[in-house]
Amino acid sequence: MPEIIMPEDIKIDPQALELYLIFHSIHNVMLAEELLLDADIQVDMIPVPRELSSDCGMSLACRLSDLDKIRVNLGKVTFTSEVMIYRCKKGDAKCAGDFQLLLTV
Amino acid sequence: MIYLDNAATSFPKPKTVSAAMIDYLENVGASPGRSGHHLAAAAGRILFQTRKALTRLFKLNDPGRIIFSENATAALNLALFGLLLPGDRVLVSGLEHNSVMRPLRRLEEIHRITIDILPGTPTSHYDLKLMAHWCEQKKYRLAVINQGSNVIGSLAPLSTMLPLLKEYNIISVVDGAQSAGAHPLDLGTLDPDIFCFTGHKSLFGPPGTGGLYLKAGIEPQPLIYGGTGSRSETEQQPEFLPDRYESGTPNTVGLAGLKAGLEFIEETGLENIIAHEKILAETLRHNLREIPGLTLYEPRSDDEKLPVVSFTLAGLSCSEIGSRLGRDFTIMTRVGLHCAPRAHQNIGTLPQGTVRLSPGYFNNTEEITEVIRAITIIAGGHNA
Repeated sequence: MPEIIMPEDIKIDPQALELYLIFHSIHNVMLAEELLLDADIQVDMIPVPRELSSDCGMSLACRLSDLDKIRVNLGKVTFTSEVMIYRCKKGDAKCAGDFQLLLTV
Repeated sequence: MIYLDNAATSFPKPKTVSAAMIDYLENVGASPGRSGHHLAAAAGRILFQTRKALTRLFKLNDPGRIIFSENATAALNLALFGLLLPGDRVLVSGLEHNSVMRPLRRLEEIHRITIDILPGTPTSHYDLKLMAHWCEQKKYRLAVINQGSNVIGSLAPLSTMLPLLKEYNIISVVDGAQSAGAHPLDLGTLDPDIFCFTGHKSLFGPPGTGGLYLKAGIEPQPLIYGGTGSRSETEQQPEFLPDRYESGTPNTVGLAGLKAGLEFIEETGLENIIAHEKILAETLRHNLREIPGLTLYEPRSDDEKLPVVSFTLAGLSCSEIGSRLGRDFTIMTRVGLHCAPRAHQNIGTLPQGTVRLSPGYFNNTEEITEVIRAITIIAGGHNA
């Protein structure tokens, strides 16, 4: 497969969605998405990063700056399985394999 | 055509039900929880919103404790086969459907469980005094209560029965196939351990939808194991809900329809639906009582009833009555035992059964008048 060369002038978005929320069950993904959107927290539903989970479905990506709000809001409901929040340390889209577990809810 | 077989399955459905199913098939199509694209997410939202709508209707808090199955029978099988162990003793009401009695009879064969059937009294289908005595004496592991009879429309006094079961640590399983959507339900207050429901009757969903509510701490063994889209690295079934009990690709198209049915109930108002159906059923009962030779089978108490009306006519078999109603008047009814021989034994209509009229929200008083006229003609030995 040919190597993909990124343009040199590409900018890293300071508002990049560095947090990855992993849920196991799609039900919990939907529950969290609704909860966080209702709290005006930016949420992007993305495929589960293979480095983080063998689950086949979706996960949520959020801003690092919203971590406290995310923690408070996730605590308002009962999830049927654990929720893991990871940070992509490099803060961009090329950070495969470079995640840090911040907390488990 | 007059459709009076809503206790079997509601018909017609609200137009939004088929529209939602077509929308899923044409615009979504994907499998929830299996993939990472936006169509899979849309499918996942359909299931999530359906669970939430059920949670609101049943007055519960946690949509994650709603498990989908293909119907109430499958839900009851999960509860019974998933919980009962060899030697267990089970209490059931005398109005149970075969969806309860057949799994229990099978468990009687393979696990040697013991089944006690609660008799009634002259004024109630449930001898509550005897039930209290049995609960104290017999060490039941589990009890099944048919909340609403599909034969006579009686409603079980759950607010008395469930606390009694709880007092003796007996797992309570409520069969709500007939009552869900036809009677106000507050499961948060009633607090059963398991509540089984179907989607295709009074919830206006399509056939192939249903499920159960599992109270926290109640953990039947799954009956179906397989792929859930979660924990894919392990060959062990996930422990968490709802995945633990929902292996295989779900019936998302059906659940899209059920979601629309539940939204129709919310928009119309459950109390308005119940009030309309009650008027139709009471009009039937009031007028049928006046027909010579007709026996009406009614609940023994004057409490609230479901819109289910059963009768027989002297000198005519049920099948003949049903046949004439269909052929001569295009009135759709259901005759026979309604898969509930135990209930017919209870009311003394074995082996013949009854003719059952079950009006629904989309029937009107003109249709009911026509039905009464037709039965009057048949009872009088006249032709249409």
